[in-house]
Amino acid sequence: MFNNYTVIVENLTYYYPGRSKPALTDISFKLREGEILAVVGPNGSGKTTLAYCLSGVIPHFITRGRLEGDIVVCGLNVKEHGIRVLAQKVSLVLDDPEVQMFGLSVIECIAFGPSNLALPREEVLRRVNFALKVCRLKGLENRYPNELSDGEKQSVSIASALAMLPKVLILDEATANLDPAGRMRIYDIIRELAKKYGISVIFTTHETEEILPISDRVIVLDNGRIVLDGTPYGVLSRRDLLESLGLKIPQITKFHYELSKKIKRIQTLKPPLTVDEAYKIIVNSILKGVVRRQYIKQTYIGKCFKRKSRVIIKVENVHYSYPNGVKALNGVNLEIREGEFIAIIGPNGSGKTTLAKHFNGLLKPNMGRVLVFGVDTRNINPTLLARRVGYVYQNPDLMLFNPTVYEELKYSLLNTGLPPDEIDKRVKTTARMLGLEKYLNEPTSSLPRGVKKRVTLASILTMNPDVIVVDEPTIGQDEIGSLLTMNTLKRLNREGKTVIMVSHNVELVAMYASRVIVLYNGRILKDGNPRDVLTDIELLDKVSLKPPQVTELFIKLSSYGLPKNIITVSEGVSVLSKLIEL
Amino acid sequence: MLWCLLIIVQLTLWTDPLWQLITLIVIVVPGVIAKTPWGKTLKTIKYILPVIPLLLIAEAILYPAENLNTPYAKRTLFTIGCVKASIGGFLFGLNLVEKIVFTIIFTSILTYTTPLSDILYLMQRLGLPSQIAFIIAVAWRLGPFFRRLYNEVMLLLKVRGLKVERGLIGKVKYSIVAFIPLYNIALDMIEKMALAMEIRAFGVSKKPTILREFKFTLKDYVVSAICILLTLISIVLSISGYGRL
Repeated sequence: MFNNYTVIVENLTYYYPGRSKPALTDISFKLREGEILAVVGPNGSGKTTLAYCLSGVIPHFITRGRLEGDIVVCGLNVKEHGIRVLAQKVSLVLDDPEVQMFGLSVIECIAFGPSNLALPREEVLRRVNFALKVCRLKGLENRYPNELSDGEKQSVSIASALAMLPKVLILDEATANLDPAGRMRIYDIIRELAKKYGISVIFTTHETEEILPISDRVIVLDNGRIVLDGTPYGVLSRRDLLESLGLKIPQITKFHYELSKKIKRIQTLKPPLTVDEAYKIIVNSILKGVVRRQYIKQTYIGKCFKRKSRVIIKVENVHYSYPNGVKALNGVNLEIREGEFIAIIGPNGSGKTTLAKHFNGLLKPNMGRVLVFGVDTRNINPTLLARRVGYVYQNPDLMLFNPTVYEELKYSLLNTGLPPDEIDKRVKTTARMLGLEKYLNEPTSSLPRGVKKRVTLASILTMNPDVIVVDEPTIGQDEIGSLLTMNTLKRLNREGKTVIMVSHNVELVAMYASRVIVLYNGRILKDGNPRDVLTDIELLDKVSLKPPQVTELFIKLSSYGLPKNIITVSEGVSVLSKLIEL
Repeated sequence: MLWCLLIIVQLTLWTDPLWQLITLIVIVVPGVIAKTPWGKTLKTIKYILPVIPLLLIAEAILYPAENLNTPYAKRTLFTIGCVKASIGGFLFGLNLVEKIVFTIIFTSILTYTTPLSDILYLMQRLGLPSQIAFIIAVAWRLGPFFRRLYNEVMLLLKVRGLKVERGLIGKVKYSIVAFIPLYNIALDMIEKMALAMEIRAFGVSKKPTILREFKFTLKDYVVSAICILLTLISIVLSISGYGRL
């Protein structure tokens, strides 16, 4: 039965209580020891339900649904064994670390599981030490959980799962809220767990870029069914299907697809998952035999922002400390001009959100001043300023408080004195712009996170502000939602609106922004055009960000005389296509 | 723990405000040794300052003179119309104020100088159900988290154009709106926490493993002995009639 397989799933179908449509339909697969399985799919495809079934949460915690088929984990039939027995074989890590840390120090959080099993003290400490080591938490043992970074918190969650010494580790969207440095930390841990300790890892996500290169196998779910099952290369070769499902394809793979349309001889090669693989393909299939000639060299000139437009936001030597003493901004000077599309980037805790909250007077500087349309934010009520400077927070749950989407969008307009038919018109136009028409009568609380994010943006756009400040515009959204959001912002920017976005997503920054501000420790480290910023590897490294994959590739290819300041897929394809034409 | 017992005994036994000052000494001396942040400790008292005069007047008027033992305490402090205030009642009120203030100082010293985990371990050692310690630990950690969320929501409501009306009713209305997103988040968190506890085998054993071991040193034995001795002396003095009004 347990022939090296840690997980055997046969014909699994699951109905949530009161639902006639199954959340999972006829799922079958097997997983070996030490294998890393990525389960990808759009929001609502059944990833979390599958994770719950494999860990015994369904049927033992969520009890009233209907489970058909068989799930065997480490020789134990999930239906027949309680969650507490299964907990010693399979561990589940949830997306939010805050809800799974039960203790007042890192050690206590990790020891929570084994302590509950009443294991001898020495055994608990042995397990804690193992988990601390694997999850790179040595030195943080006695830290209070609230003092940890997001990446460290999620590492503690994984460590606490690991302390149960499971044979199967399931991570459900465990990197969804992390910055790139935090995500890389988790992927390194996963790789080590699988390859060194033989733990089977199942990782559910709708982001593929970083997880696919370390996965042995990928299952793609849609509407509760497996639509693809294979190696990462095999799955990525079905680009059309992935894109139709709204799944993000690694930028380097997308680059290969686009290039193969122009250069037929690379079409038959398997798509690259990493920059190194793409480099080898290009060197061996395109650059081989090409004489390094000076004329190959091309330099891209970065998009320039309109220097001539008027200054609408002026930040003068702004310092800001939170009441708990944390210094978030440390002497920021900045001018924002009308019609700019600005991206503010930096690691978690660098002051990005704090700075964004100064643009509409939500926070007032402790020292220095912020002038918005010539008015000092200290002298104006943020509610009044909100009509000119709209702000969309990163966590949509904190901004929604109306029963339906329609009422949510209407709410901001209620105090504006607009006639009801004008309000209705604005609500519907904005909803159409962001693909929200079908949700207008839906309750906001039941929407997927990505849709909620668009609702918060729409609720601000109905006010027709001159400046739109958006914190992490695409977080939690699938590819279709992300593009819809970003294209809407771009369109509004073309119509004259000033857009300021806070983001970790360097690809979006490269594609949409005309100016990038890099924050670090509450100071501006660099302020320039995307091309200058995103190709400055030293700078990005310092702020725990990575350049776009295509930029990394062209930096490697620069030894062949190719330009190294390429930041988008289309630019890269254009450079190599021209090279072939020569 | 013995120090706590000593303070509780003294706060309960002494009714004379002068004698109650001994309790203050018993509280402050260990506080000084434990390097208490006195600024923060005294800050917590300022919130009850407005209540103190009211308490003193109320007790002086309302406390029944027949309950007082000494003739001095039964003497009248002042009379306004038919309202008569006794010295004993006033002193009783003063003692009550001392009890409240000293309790605040004592609990502040305890919280500022003793890690919560030590208190929780002690509770477990004393045989209290592990669930109680667990609930305190989770509440302690999530308290600041929800406070931060609440502040965040209050700020964000402003960008949604919510008009803040002045006065108490306006503030209450504003808080009710802010409560909706918080309630949704809390519900979601509670559900996930229950799930996370279940998958970490919470409740499997009635006696979960206690990680830390307490070892008594000579200093601990000496302090314990002093606490026991002072407790006994306090009880004997009280029985002998000292420290009472």
